[in-house]
Amino acid sequence: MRSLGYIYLALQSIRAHMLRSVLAVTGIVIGIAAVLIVVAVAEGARAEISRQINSLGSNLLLVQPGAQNAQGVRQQAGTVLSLTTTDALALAREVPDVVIAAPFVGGQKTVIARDLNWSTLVAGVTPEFFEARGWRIAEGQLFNQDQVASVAKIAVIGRTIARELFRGGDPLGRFIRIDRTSYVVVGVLAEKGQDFTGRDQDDVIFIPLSSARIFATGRSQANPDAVHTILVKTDSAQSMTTVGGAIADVLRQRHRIMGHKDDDFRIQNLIQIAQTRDRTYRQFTLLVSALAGISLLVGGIGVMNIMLVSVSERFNEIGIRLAFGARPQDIRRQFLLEAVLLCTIGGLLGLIVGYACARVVPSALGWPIEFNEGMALIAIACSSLVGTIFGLLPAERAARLDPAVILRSV
Amino acid sequence: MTSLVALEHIHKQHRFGSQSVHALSDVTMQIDRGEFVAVVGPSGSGKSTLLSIIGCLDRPSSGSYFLHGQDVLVQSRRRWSELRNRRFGFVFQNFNLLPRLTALENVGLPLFYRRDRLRNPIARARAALDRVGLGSRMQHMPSQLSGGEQQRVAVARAIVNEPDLLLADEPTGALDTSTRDTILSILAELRRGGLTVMLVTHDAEVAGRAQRTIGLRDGAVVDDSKTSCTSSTSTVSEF
Ligand SMILES: Nc1ncnc2c1ncn2[C@@H]1O[C@H](COP(=O)(O)OP(=O)(O)OP(=O)(O)O)[C@@H](O)[C@H]1O
Ligand SMILES: [Mg+2]
Repeated sequence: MRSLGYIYLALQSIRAHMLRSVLAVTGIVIGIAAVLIVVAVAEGARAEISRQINSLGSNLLLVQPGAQNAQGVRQQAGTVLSLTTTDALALAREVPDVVIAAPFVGGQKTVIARDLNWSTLVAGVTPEFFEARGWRIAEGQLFNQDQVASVAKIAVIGRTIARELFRGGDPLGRFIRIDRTSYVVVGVLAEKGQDFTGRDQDDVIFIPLSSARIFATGRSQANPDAVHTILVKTDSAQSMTTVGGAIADVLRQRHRIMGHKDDDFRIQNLIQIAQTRDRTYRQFTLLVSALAGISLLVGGIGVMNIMLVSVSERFNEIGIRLAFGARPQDIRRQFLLEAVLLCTIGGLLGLIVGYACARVVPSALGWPIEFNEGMALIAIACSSLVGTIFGLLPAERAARLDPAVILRSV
Repeated sequence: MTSLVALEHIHKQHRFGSQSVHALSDVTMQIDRGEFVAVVGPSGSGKSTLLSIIGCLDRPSSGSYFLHGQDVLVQSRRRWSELRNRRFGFVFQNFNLLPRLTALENVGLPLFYRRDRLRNPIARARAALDRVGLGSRMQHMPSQLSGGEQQRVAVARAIVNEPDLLLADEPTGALDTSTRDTILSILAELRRGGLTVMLVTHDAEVAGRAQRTIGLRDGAVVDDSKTSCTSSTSTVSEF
């Protein structure tokens, strides 16, 4: 009842100086909006990364051709096709922690199904590839080792291909032309969505590795056995850190790389790639956090300023209240509550602005965001905290007022 | 029987910088229950200072003050708030209503700050407004009321907690004679109901209604006289 009275009073005096109050809380609005964007992006990134880590399949390494030194990639990956199918076989055979080593060739191709065409990634793989990624078939079936050995003209397609080339019709048994060869669709993979680079993982056609060698994707003049990538699956998460060395040893030996000469391949951890991406988010988050901090500080000072003005304008009111029995703590509570309420209004406006910004800005950058009900709580908690901190001084000043002023104000 | 208010050798110095003004010097007086006391004196003689010390709005520099025989000056700040809330009712020359509250809410202000919960504070505030004849203007804002009506609201606010002592600092100073008389008759009515009233005035007419007149000059009591006839105006000639 009494606290309701205080809220009523606070709202009344805020309303009495509407424009001034709104201007005073601008900083809070921006600050809270920034806080919410930070949280939304951080939440989005976190959710995305855990989604990716799930979709990447666990314990995966990529071995790709190309030199690498301590500073990172020196040579564009894939310019020299130094890895071969036999390298993949050797890794699976010679490195104890390697469970699967799946070779992969691929390239962007325009493919045709009857009168529709589509530009997509055409990849040549062996059945181990699907096993390593943990990808499941939704319709039809995957191809097997025999079909790879017999250079079968068959294809397993992603959901996007099924949608774009067959327009909702049943793709199984239909033909897709890639270069001058026709492939019959034997399977459609379960939908996977985007990967961490934003690429549609369902926009892909898989054909047997052997068949892919027919066209230029997988063919190197120097080395007809060359592959673009070897996907390595280790037996456990722990071996991820140590297995890289063992893989490098085997490949250096096979490629006759001696002493301090650079590797002609590089080993990447998929989770590390995802985490590198996470670092970009974190930089953005840090920047916006700084903005949030500064805005809240400026906003808080703005509110403190307006509250100090309000206190000195209302000496008479305070004097009257004191004369009729208000205790200093009653006055303190009244002004503190007013500051908190003012900031909370700013926080709620910030919630709206932050929500709008979090909708527009990160999605324009192609970033995932997560906005949930907890954000309203964060907005209210942050803004009322700012209100409490910056309301203390004005409230204290009001509470210290000498009630005798009331008889002097005539 | 102990007096309602007993001041002994009260001094009050206002200090600002190196300057110091002796607003009250060696004031000793008693006020008994039911009295109607007028305080008169030239401007700057310390009338308001006296009122603010009696009403626990300000502390004397030295001396002692007993309210119902109890030493006021040893009480805590909290207790002083409570005394202001329950023992005193203030009326000011410029009404001092809170502009953003309705008449009823203004009257309810002392109830809002009561430590104990009243069962029906609104009825209580309404009753106080009825006593000053403004029962029909409860929802009016101060700006919608005339000066005389505002002062009546202020009187209702001063009496809503049934104080021991009504302290009025030139309550009719800002009013014309007819509204002044309305206020004075309300005060007279309250006094008949047993309320003790102490008012500061420059107006001989108003002082003449009082039963006792205290004259101040340069912070000292120079006159303290009882008037036998409460309606006479001729006995006051001090100023
Ligand atoms: N806060 C203060 N600081 C300094 N001097 C003060 C203060 N309050 C009052 N005084 C001085 O104390 C003296 C008494 O003031 P007080 O207000 O009691 O006079 P008053 O009799 O009420 O005068 P008036 O009739 O003009 O209202 C005056 O000289 C005044 O200037
Ligand atoms: Mg005065």
